[in-house]
Amino acid sequence: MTFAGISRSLLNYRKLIYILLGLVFVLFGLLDAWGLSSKYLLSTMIFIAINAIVALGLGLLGGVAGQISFGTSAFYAIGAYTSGILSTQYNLSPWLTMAFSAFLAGVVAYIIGRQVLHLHGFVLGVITLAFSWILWRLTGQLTITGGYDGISHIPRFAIGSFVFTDDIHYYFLVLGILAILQIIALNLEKSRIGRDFRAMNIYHGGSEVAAMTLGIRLGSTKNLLFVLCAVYAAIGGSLYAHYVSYLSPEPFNIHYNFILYLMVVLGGIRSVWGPMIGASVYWGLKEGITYGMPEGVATAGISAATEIIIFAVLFIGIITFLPQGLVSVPSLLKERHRRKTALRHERALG
Amino acid sequence: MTGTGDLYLELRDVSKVFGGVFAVNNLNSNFSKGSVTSIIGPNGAGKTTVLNLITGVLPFDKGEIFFKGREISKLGPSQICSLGVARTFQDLQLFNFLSVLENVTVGYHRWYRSNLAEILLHIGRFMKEEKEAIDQAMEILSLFHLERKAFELPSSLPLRDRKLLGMARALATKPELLLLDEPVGGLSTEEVKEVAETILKIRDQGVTVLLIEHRMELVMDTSDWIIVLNFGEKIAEGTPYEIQRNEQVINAYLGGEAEAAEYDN
Repeated sequence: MTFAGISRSLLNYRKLIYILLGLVFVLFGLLDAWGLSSKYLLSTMIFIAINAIVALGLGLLGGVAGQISFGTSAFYAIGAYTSGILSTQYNLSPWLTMAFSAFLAGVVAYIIGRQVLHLHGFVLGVITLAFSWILWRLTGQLTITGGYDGISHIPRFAIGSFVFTDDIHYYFLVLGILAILQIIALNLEKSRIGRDFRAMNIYHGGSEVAAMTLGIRLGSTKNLLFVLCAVYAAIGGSLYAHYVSYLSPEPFNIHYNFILYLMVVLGGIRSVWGPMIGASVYWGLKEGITYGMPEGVATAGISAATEIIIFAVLFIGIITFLPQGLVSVPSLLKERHRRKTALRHERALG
Repeated sequence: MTGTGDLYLELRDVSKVFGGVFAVNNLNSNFSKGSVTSIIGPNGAGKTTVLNLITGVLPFDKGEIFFKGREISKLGPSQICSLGVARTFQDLQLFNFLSVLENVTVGYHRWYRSNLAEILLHIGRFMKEEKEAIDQAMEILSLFHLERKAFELPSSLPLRDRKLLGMARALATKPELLLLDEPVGGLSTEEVKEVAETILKIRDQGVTVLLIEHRMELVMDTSDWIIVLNFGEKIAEGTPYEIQRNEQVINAYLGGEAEAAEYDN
């Protein structure tokens, strides 16, 4: 029953497998076409997959359920640092540290969520932002996190004697985890819980009052998503820590929350596919901007400023002209085609 | 602390104040099982507030509410729903980006038993339950003749169908007590008749109905008992026949003898 069920739900998402295979092929295709060093491109692909995992959790919470949270970078940090500390100081296996960091992030999210999730909109946003900020500053101050020196020599994942040292192996590991988490997110969205949280999304035609009077417990449903988002972020953080093998506070800056939102909005804020697409496009553009910059400009710090300006304009543009993100493009084109055909038929008739 | 069998839903000295004004003032009422009771009154009489107090949407300042002998004054809306109380809204509050079918399946919420692992992996009881929910929702939709619009969005439906969808969604919770807030506001006389028939059909299935409505034809055709509110206070109650002849009601609400005579059989 269980096995049949799992295989059935896999079959339901044949599309997902196609896309993942597509990503793999894109990778190898690009390696030749661009003539870039494979090492560099591969590491970009790994970052895309890790970010897609983190953004996926945020997409469910922030996009589909409409809860504004800037706490994701904090849970990303909890995931990364828990993994880093446990694997370097206690020599635990990365698999264990990843599981433990996800668990810890979930518990922390549950405790915080119980206190703040009855709050609405920007109040929730501000409180989670404060939490992220505090945690980010703490990582630079505490001895256990290594302060600004950080933690180094974090080991890679291993199965028996096989260690995921090669980037290509690590890439497939991250991709596999992304696939599992994507399936779980899709399953959740296509279930009663998914309907519940779409029903109570006040930013997308929902009604909290109606949802409550139909028996939905708002608090626990929101908290479930908050925990799930934290777990996804922690898994992403853990994969990041075991990949780069060195942790410093900077990647866990509160700015990361806004970049995640950019990814989610870019891909499609109401879609479970959005975060994956958004993460890919974001990193593609980011690398493109860095490479497209003339010699010497990049070093002057103008590169970073340009990047921020371009992404800000992009963010506003997407919200204004393509509010459902890139995933909505095919259906928009189809609709346009349908209208054009209808118009042509009308003209032909009259 | 317990009510008797007759006292199905009981309001004791219920008061609600909004900024110094009594929206509901010392309201005492009993509703008997299997009946259709209407609350009528001019705009601002506190009718919708009473509904919000019963369903736990608003906390109240004074008094107690009992449902089947159990005090529900301190419970939240979702808990009250799980006791078998469902409602519709004057402004409908439909889920605009869920299909008609999904709107109704949300109402089926409290009957699910599958756990989180089963939901996340789509295994075990999940698939069976999902199918069950859809079947039940389609059944309820067909009661309202909406089954052919199951996959449309609520915004594409005419007002009458959206009103019915609100009722269908509430019925999906399988309530014992159904509270309807202006189910026919803005509908034509023909449509009002259809809704009246539907309400009586629902009552015949054993659901107690509490109705708030301005349209007298619906109130007089369906109600077993009528409560009249004015400025948050109960000014009269009785059968439709009695209410139509109550001087105080005619002055406060029905607007003179001529109109009262219109409903005279």
